[in-house]
Amino acid sequence: MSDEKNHFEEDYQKYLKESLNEVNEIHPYSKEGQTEIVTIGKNMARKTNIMISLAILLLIVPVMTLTTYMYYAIGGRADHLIDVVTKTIYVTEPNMSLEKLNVEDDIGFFSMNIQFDVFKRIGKEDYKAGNYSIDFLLNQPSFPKKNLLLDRPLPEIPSKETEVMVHPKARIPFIETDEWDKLSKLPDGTVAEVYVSLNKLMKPEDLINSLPENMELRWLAVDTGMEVTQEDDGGVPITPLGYPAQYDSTTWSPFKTDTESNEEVFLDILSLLEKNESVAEKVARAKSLSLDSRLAYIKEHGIKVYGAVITGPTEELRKLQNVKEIRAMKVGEVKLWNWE
Amino acid sequence: MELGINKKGGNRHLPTISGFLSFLIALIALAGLNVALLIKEKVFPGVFIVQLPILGFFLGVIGLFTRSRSRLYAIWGLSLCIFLLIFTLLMVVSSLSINYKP
Repeated sequence: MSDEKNHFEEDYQKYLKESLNEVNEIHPYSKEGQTEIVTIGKNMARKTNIMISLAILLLIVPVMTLTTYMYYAIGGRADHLIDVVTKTIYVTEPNMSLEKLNVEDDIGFFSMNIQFDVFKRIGKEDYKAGNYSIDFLLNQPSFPKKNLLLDRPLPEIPSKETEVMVHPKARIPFIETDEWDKLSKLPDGTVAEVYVSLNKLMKPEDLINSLPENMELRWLAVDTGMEVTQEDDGGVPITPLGYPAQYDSTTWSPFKTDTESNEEVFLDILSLLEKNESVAEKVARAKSLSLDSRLAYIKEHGIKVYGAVITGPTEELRKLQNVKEIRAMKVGEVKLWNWE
Repeated sequence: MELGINKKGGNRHLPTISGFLSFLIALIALAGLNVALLIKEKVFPGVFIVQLPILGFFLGVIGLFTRSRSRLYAIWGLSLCIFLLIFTLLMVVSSLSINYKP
């Protein structure tokens, strides 16, 4: 017991000696030295605070930008949205096309803007019909800002009274003779675009065979079961759904295909739009596309057309009045001669 | 208790010069990048997203090799420079995958 006590005592003395030695090595600062240390410490803390705060603030914009780019890049989200928008134009705007290669995108903070020009074939030339600018907040589009350069643009808000191609069982909202008069009073040596409504539903190839020569069928309006009423089940007006009648040689056009017919591409596009209907409905003029029921109708009844867009020399287009399958005609755009 | 100096200890609270330079360069590069992003410059100035971050990266690495000084600035400088280099890489990759045109 006594040995153990002595051992503790020795350890304690040893520790005390070491501590005293350490204390002797510490030299107290003078008053000026202490002030200097405090000043250096304050300055260092201030400098560190400023630099770290600045770094965090400067990181905000790059991090937000990078996050947005990654959002649109991962899984090809931006390309998919562009694809839906451009294909919506092809199937909802009669005789309108675009150059997908020239679609411009601009990525902002959690948003994207796309801009592109649209074209109409009148005669043998593609004329710029205007441009679209669509803003996306993440994947939700706003209504497109359109700047159309057309003389007779289609109404922005479609209704029964402004429809240019009508179903055989629907009432024609314009005076047919007035339109034929317009066409007859246009000078020869011009080319024009006309919207025709048929007397009956026809297969596309039958319509092609019934047309006179020296004109070009540009776009076919397809019967989707809703064209008689021209509104969806909820009473919201709809616009025609259709597809280009010709092979489109424009780079990246969905209708530039050798393996599929335009009808098959049209059905593929409708399937794509059905899955992205909210985007398509914002881009299309009609605020309801009812694609699920219209696609089901087309799959059940096949592709039958009730209207079409035709372009060609004005004097040739006058011959359409003698085509018994054509019920009504409405004149669209007119341009100077470019047919040859 | 009064302030004193332990001869065995060093000046541990002061950062390394190269660490400070690395942090400073990273801040300058970040500021340049912010300006380029906010004015929507189509072509990013390479000096802010490549040259300066690489310089800052090496200075930051040098700043880490110290026993007696603080590595705080070196770590910040190094981290920011690595972020800037990764940012550049990811932006190039994502830009190419959005609406790519040959």
